[in-house]
Amino acid sequence: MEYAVKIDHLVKNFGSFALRDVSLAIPGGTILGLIGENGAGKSTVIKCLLGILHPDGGDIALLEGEGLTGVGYVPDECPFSDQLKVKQVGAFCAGLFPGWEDSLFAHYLEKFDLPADKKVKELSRGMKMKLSITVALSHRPKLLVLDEATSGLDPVVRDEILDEFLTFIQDEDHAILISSHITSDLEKICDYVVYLHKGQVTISGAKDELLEGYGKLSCARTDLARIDPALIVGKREGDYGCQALINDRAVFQNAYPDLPLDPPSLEDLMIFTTRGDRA
Amino acid sequence: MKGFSRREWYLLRPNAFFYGGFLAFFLVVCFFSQKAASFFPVYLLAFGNSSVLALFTYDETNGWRAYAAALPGGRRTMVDARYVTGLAIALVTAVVSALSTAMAGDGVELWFMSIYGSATLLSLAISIPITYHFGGIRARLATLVLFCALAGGITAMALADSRGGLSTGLAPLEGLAPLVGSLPLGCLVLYALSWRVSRNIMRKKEF
Repeated sequence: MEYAVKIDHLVKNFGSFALRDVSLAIPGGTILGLIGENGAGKSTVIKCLLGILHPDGGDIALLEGEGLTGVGYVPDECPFSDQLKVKQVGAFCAGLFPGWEDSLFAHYLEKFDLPADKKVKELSRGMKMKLSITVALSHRPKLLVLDEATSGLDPVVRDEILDEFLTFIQDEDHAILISSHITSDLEKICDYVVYLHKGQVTISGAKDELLEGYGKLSCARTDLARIDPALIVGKREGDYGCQALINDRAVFQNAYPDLPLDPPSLEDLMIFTTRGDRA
Repeated sequence: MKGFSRREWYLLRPNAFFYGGFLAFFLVVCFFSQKAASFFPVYLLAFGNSSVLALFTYDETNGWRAYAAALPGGRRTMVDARYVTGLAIALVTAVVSALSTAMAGDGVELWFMSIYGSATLLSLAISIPITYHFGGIRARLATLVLFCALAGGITAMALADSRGGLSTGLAPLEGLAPLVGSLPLGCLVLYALSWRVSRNIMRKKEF
């Protein structure tokens, strides 16, 4: 499978907010992280992809025409009614997904230590998320779509879930789209990153290339003043020094060899792009 | 559709057990009282409508409808399962109506079954698309008014005649007896139209 997801020039208007010309592609066997601050449009992109919202423009190709059959969707909130027991969730989900396997559901229940006889309302937030992931995985999807799936979870549970995703992606026919504002999670597992800001794609590309291409500078005001503004994505000036995000590490190091750069994190990319003062 | 229907049954089951106990109690009352036969199907009409509305409330919590819309064929199948549930409720209403007249000593009255089964179909045919379009909370007042109009009309006719001394107080409703075949058929047609309308509403809806 060449591309699990291909979105071209997606547009969606809500009046006060709009997605504008959003394009992204997820090659088979990869994980794409969709990052952005709250209200950036991450969930809107996912909902347009899955048909929960109807786009106003653009093209969407899902699993090369296969559509929703091969998609496992994990929303930010557990969608199963509180009154139902875990085993009842499995029983009715078996009738929803063509490729459902009861044995796989039982396997993940055991792996995630989820009690089959407990009601959903008796589960903790982490356990509810594990239940959603269990359901998503139990019909052998090709594409996992996770919308803020790790938000509000403790580090141990997040680590466990991220490991499960890395296992899932071992198959070259599988792909994952994960949206989050917890950039540290995405740095661990993503191959590609798309940063959304106010409904538009601001940064996109291979994660390693992005992090190697950008640089984080810590310097004095006098040093900052002499740097070419075209190289500065955003800056923050404080009483004791300044920080800036540089958009071309190689050019900067040639031009200013006396100013060392640190490798940025995805969080730095987000913060400096969103909140840093423009040069 | 099996998955959606099974979910609906799991959600209604706790209420159904309560209702079964209530049913047993009132069938005994019907057996000894002979004037309560019309009360019980009216209660069932109310219960049937409120059960369907309760399912909408369950749908609207936890983001279930958005999740279901992301399933293959989810929007259409979600609606289909709801209407099948409604048909099942109408059938149960009709059967229990027959049981209540039988227990009251008047035997199985087909026209009585026809009226209550049809009333259930009609009320659901109107309330379901309203609820899909406006949401469970906003549609609740409209469906409540509708149910009161239907149930009140039927009960008022029955009570008005109970003073005439008939065992089940149903004589005014017997005026509708010639419609025993066409009434449910007409309501089924309306129900089918309502089904189609609801599918269109859900096809366009965004969550």
